[in-house]
Amino acid sequence: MSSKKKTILKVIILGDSGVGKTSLMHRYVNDKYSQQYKATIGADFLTKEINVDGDRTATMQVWDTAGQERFQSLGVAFYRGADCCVLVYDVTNTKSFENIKSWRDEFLVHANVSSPESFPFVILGNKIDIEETKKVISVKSAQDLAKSLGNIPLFLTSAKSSINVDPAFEEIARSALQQNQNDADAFEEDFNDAINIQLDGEADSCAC
Amino acid sequence: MTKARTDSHFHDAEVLEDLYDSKPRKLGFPVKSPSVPNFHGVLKSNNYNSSVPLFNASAVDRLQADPGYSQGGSSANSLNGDDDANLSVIDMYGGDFDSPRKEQTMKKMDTLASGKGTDHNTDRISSNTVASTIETPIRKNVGSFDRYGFRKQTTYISEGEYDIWWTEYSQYCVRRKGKWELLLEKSGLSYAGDSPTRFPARSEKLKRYVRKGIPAEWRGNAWWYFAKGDEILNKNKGLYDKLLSRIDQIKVQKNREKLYPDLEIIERDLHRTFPDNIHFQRESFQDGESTMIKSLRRVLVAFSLFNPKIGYCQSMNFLSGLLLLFLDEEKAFWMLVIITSRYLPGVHNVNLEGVNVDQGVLMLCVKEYLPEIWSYIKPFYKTQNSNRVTMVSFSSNSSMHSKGTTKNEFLYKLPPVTLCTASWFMSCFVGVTPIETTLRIWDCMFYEESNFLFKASLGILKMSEQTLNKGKLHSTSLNHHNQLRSRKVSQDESDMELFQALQTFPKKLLNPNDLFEKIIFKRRITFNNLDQEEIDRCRKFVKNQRNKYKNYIEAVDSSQYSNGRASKYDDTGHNNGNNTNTFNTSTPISDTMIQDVLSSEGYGFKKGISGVNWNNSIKERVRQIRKRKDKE
Repeated sequence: MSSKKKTILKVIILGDSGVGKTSLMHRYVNDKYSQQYKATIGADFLTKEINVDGDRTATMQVWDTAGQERFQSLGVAFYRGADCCVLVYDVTNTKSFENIKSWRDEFLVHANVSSPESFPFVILGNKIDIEETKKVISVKSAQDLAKSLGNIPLFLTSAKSSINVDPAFEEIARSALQQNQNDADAFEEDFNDAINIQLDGEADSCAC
Repeated sequence: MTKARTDSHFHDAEVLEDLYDSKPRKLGFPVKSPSVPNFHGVLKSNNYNSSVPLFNASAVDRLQADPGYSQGGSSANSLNGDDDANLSVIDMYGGDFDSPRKEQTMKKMDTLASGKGTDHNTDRISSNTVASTIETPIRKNVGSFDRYGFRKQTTYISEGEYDIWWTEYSQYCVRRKGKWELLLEKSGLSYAGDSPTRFPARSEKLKRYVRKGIPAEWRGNAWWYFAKGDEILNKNKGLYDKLLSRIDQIKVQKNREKLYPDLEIIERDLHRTFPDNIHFQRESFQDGESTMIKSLRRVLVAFSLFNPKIGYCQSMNFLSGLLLLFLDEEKAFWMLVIITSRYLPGVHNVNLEGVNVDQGVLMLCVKEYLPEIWSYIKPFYKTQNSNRVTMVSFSSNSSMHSKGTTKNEFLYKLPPVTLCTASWFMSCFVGVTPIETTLRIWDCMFYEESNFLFKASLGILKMSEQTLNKGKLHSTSLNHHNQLRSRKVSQDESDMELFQALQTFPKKLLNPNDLFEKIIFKRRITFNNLDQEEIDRCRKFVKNQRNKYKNYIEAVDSSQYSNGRASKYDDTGHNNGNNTNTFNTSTPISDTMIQDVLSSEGYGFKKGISGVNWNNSIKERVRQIRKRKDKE
């Protein structure tokens, strides 16, 4: 990609209500954690400038979503154009883990990505700071799931204790950038088609 | 027992009947109003109908008698602290909260109180290891909180800014209260120094008074009165108690989590409602959860049983939370019922269709009344496949504009910014604007109905215009094909900036009068002519359009899937009359369906006899023509 245009990487965070999506976003973008986040209604986003390939920078746009299922019907508009999708579960909450797959499927349905097989996802198992006895999702079962969904990278994180959040988002940024470039290349090809079609249209109108 | 008359607002006749037939149960917890310990003079113990459960009238009176009070070094304390009732609350958990012993107690308490389901936040104290990066818990400094118990400082407003503003605004409040008192006196409504329970008959004057703000300590009663709370309560006497007894039954029911999935979500949101409010804080009460949290839980669970069509929808926690600060629990419940049925119909339903409808209405209004803002918002559609940019342009200088091929598509594919504005409606600006501004909007919402939410939204959008202009947001419209690419990029960028601007702008609206004096009261601002009738008509129109489009787009989508690639909407508008060519797809879409959609007219706003709206639309057309000429 030769363009000097600023690259915008769009990242969507999905997962059940209360798994820590907002916390993860704030931890990554502002390196802060608070007990005082309110339930997210609709969507929020933060941006972070990141370095890619040493000298280039890109803007990472992290979208935090409402976790309640019914809000998915609002999300359609902003799933589109995503470069990476982050699926979050809470290691102390079985249901949030079981829902990972449906979150992914929902995303694919709404985002209409060009090639669903290769679209980058990252799974985060959050709240690993919580005492062992409360954890209900084993590392093994998480790995199995990640594998079964097409070798999705998996990170066990704690937004609260700042464990593994940066490495996870580095991976997210990397795969988002890759996806972004793939899309840009595809655009170049497609772009010419678009011109042709529109020119055809004009020819028609001139004829009448 | 009188049988409940089912009100037209409710979809749940069965539920009502069911509840009425069931025998009252003994309740396992205090049912009546949130009895905050030591909150003397406020709650009158368990008096159900004491209408100002937390908001203390005498505190405000005293404050308002001496607004200058708040100035000076220890202003903080004097603002709401030098008052018996308030002090008692604050005192209960004030001071040395950080002592290790207390932390231990608190931790234990947390664990006890939370039970299952709230694990995500409970071990808050065990965070010593990362203490450096964890924001310190709210300091229990009385002066850091406003008169409702909210922390003055937010991400966007400092405590100092708040105090400076409040010095002035509190004087305004005193003046307004004086006027209200005169008005009530003149209307022969006595209220014996207490909060009045009856208000004057509707009039332009009263409307203006409401718009200038209802005295804070009268709010609960005034909202209740204007929203006709008594009507609904009298029709449903005892129903809330029955709901509570049902909650009791459910508590001991096996597999209740499966039967009532809302319970878990409610549980998670209780402490994520007003973490910045003293009355809702986990650590506020040492003998268990705060009373407010318990009330909030009961109201939300009761509602989810009362209206299974809605159940629990996030954002209702904010509505209920604010109501509970001004009304007792039962009234708060009924007000929630009123808001979700009368003011925001369908908005909280499982499919949130009401949200989409209202956002469509808002977009129609923006397009009509705020064409400048619309030029930022108007969608630049991509086809299903994100990297194929063919466009449905609404560009005002495009020739197809008038053909109406896709005139209303934005009602179906709502512009991304509606994700942001949707939350304005769902939570009625709670958490969107600073609290005093939100309360002023609520005053008007209960008096003027939902059209005021649209006015307030349009007002905020209008105010944010400057912010938008500051950014290089609006790229000049690009018509040429070879600029498509840069347009895609710039569209992404401007979408992002727009969203960011609208996400943060309202949070800085500390002074309600910035919105009211500069926008709402200005007659020449045309959207102020919007009335409820117009909004209702708009809602109907949008609902209709969305239904049509839904069927139509689904058909297009399915044909795209079968084609294996995205079809392109060739919306150049040049294929006169031959509409089927518009869609590059092989799957038949019924002609009537296409006809139905393509023939749809745009919404026509009522043109006022005064000609104000009419002039506006002419102005807009002239603007477009001029623009077009400039281009040529």
